[in-house]
Amino acid sequence: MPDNEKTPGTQGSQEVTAQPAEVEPAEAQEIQTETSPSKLEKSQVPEQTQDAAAAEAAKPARPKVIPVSALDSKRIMQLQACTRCGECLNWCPVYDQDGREDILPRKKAADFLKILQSQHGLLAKFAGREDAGTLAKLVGKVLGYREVTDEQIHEFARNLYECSTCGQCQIVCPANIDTVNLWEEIRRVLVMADYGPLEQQKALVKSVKSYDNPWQQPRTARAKWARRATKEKLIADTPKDIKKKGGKILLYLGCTASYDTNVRQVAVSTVNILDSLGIDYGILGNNEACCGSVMLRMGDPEFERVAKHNIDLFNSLGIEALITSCAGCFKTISEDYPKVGCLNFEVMHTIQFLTRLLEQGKLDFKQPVEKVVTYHDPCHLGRASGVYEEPRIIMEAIPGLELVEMPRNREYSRCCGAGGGLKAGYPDIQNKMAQERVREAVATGAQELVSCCPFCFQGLQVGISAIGSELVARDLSFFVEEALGVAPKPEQKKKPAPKAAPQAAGTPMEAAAEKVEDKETEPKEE
Amino acid sequence: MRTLAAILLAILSALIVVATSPAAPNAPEVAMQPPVKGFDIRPCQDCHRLPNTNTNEGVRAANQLCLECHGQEACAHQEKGRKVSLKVDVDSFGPSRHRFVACLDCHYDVGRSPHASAQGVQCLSCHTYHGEGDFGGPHLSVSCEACHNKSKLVKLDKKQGRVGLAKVDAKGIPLSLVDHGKSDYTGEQFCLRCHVTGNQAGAPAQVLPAKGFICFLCHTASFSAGGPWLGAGLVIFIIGLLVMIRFWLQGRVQGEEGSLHNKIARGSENLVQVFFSHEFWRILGAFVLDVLLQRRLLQESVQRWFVHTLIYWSILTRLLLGVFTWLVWQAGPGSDLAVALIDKNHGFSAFFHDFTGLLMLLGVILSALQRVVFKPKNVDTNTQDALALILIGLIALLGFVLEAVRITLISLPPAQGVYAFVAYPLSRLASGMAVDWNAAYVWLWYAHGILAAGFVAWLPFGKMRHVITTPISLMMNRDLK
Repeated sequence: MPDNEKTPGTQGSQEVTAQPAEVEPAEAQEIQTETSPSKLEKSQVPEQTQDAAAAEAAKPARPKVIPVSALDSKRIMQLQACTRCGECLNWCPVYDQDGREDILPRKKAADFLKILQSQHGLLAKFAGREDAGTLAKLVGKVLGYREVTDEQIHEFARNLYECSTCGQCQIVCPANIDTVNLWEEIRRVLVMADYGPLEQQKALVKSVKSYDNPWQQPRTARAKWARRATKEKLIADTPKDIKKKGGKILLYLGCTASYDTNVRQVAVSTVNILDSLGIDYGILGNNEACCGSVMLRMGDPEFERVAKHNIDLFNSLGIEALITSCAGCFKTISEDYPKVGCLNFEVMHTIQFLTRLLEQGKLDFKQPVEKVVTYHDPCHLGRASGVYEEPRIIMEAIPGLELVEMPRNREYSRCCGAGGGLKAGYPDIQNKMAQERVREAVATGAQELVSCCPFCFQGLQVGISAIGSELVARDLSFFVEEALGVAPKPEQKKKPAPKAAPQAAGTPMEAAAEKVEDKETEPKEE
Repeated sequence: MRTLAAILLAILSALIVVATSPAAPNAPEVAMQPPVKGFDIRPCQDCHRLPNTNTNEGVRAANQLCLECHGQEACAHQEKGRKVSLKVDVDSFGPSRHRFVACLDCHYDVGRSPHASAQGVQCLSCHTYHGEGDFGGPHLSVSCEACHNKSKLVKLDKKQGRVGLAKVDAKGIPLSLVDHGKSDYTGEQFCLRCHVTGNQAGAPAQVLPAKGFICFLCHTASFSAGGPWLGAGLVIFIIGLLVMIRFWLQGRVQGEEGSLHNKIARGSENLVQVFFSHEFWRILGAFVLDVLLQRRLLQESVQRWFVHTLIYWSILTRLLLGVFTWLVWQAGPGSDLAVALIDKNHGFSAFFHDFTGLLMLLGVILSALQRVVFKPKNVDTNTQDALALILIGLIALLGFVLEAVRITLISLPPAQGVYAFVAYPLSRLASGMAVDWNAAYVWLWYAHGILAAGFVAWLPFGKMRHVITTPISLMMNRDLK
């Protein structure tokens, strides 16, 4: 791994969190060669947590200090804006699978407030000090000072990471608490104080730091999908490198569409659509780096560095717009990057871009697609960015395509659990969440489950496999490609990918493992 | 000839004095005999003229006429066989500006025949009522002279529903009320003519503090602390608020992580910038739709919105009316509108306060039913939730009890009482009970006040702090979907 040595992440992480950086060189190798994030969870974590617990039992560790100054004051204020009304309980998709009060937004807000107050509250200034006298302690007790132990903070961190940051709680919150940003910022200070992320999630973050993608794949393999697709005649030609040849529009593919062969269709279809429309676009190829979504969602403070790097790169291209087919990348670049730096171009999801073309009369859907489908609003595209109608406009415009809505749609779309580090941290809960969503989709009588996000595609696939459903997960770009009639001939070759999953049925773990193997064998071939 | 004239004049003068004196046993009702016609010793204009009482000279001339009789020791009238002096001691006006005021300007209906005052002295033709802040309340049903006259015997006239000076003392002996000197109303001592145990005025048996600032939450009040209890509530509330804001400010403000000073500077700078930008209208929109109308709650659950609104809007409208009343009072003390608004017995005020109080109680009861009986799965009740409901419920309940007792004490006539449609029936109930309500009122008042003070003091520390934080959150996150 030539890239491994000069990982841009190492320096930054030493500044903020010592621990992950220490273990990195040794473990990075292991992850890359042998195991996937989901396997890691099964094999290593229980031991580690037990060890940690044993160590703590031996000496009651004083809790590490949460760097409160790294939190925005409005987040602290919003912790206190929660009235514990419990509206979040009715809607939280994670709570539906793991009905513990501790993981509910209202409890997490209250728990974190307690942690902050025990360390930074007024009473903590005299009653919470290590050298506090008996009187100070007594007065503190009377006035309601409660100490929070190290283990309680660890427990809180485990609960906090049991969340896909889907933002459903914010939609239903009568106080309109900006929960997604709240959870992410709390995760960030927990990481700074070395309480996060979870062991199971570290591999993901480390991978981004080391390889600029969360899938432990080499940087050089990023553009390989295009070469292979060209070879297989799935696309006419490898898209041009925007750095070398310029272009008005940057197609940002994202890690998942680039590396996961199951999701490759998203990249392929998008490229075919753009080609057929004669758009002046280009890709970054191997120069593309992860948008950093994974780090941001899991609270790694290094996100800022990743974002800055990407912003500088994007800004230097002189592009008019950046389009991406990944809802996660889209949300991160359009909503989170502006907090780090200015962007000199427009950010669009491919679907928004296509809708615009449709409105301009530039899209001509001549091939009918006779399918009954249902649409899953990706959290990052819908709730986070407010893009609900564009995908529906496109589907409406495709002749023959019939959309049947699931009972939970648009801002109430049930999260499949793939985001926010939940899939890495709590794979079985993600699995159950996906199953729930797939069952909802099956109940509509639709043949295919459409979405606009490679991450959701992966996540929903887990659910489809787990319940052995006939349902086919699709990215909307696939139908657009079909309706435009631009898909090159060997269409059959693409099909095996989605079908492979239902065969693996069995346990979700197997399915996931199989998928990962699929991925891993690929780079090794070269 | 000159001597004869002098003698005649003397006799006539004596005659007038005697004639005007009510000492004439035959006609005690007729206070003053009409002047005997045919005599032209005195020009008619001496009496039948309208001196310009806007000048000191005019006042002096006008008063001179009155004092011709009322300056005499013999000026008195018979009541129940007793002689009650009507002699006015000019010196008793003392240094007050009333010595430059014509008698007729206050006793305006005595300048005609028969010479008797049907309406008594009219202080309010010049002065206004007290506002809410003075003397613990507006005292609208108390006549001015009840306090300002030196006579200490005060009584509730149940027919008129007004507190005025007693005409007879405890033994039934008629009292002379001619002393125009002002009572010393500095210090609480003077309040004790009513506010004592077993008083005749229907007043609470103790002097109660004025409604303090915190009472604005539900009543019109004054910008005063309002006694130690209410004041302590206010002080703890302010401290709590500051502690809360200080706690928030431990975080970054607009990216500023440094000193508190810088954070406040950055924060307020940003606040001003946002306020004076087009964002203002969007904040206003969020304030109206999300904060006032609770749109987001309505979207999720009509039922929850309804219960919450019962409590929230009851308190909010009372707060708004209280502030409005205060403003109207400041704009024109004693204006008809201002007096109607501070008059607890006025039809509108009585109905409004009973109605909102009832809705508030209903909200608390429905909310308690949700928490205790129906228990939907999202409802989780902890001490804070219970405390909030219990406090609001108790305060509202005690409010009704207080009003009922007050109505009992002042013997509000049913025609006025109907507007207080909750408290009036309660007062009928209370009047049938053998309780010393004058004394009980004090206890009930303190219970209501201290609970309210406790509620306000607890506000920044517990669940109820959401009345501050949630609106901020709603306005701050106006852009979020």
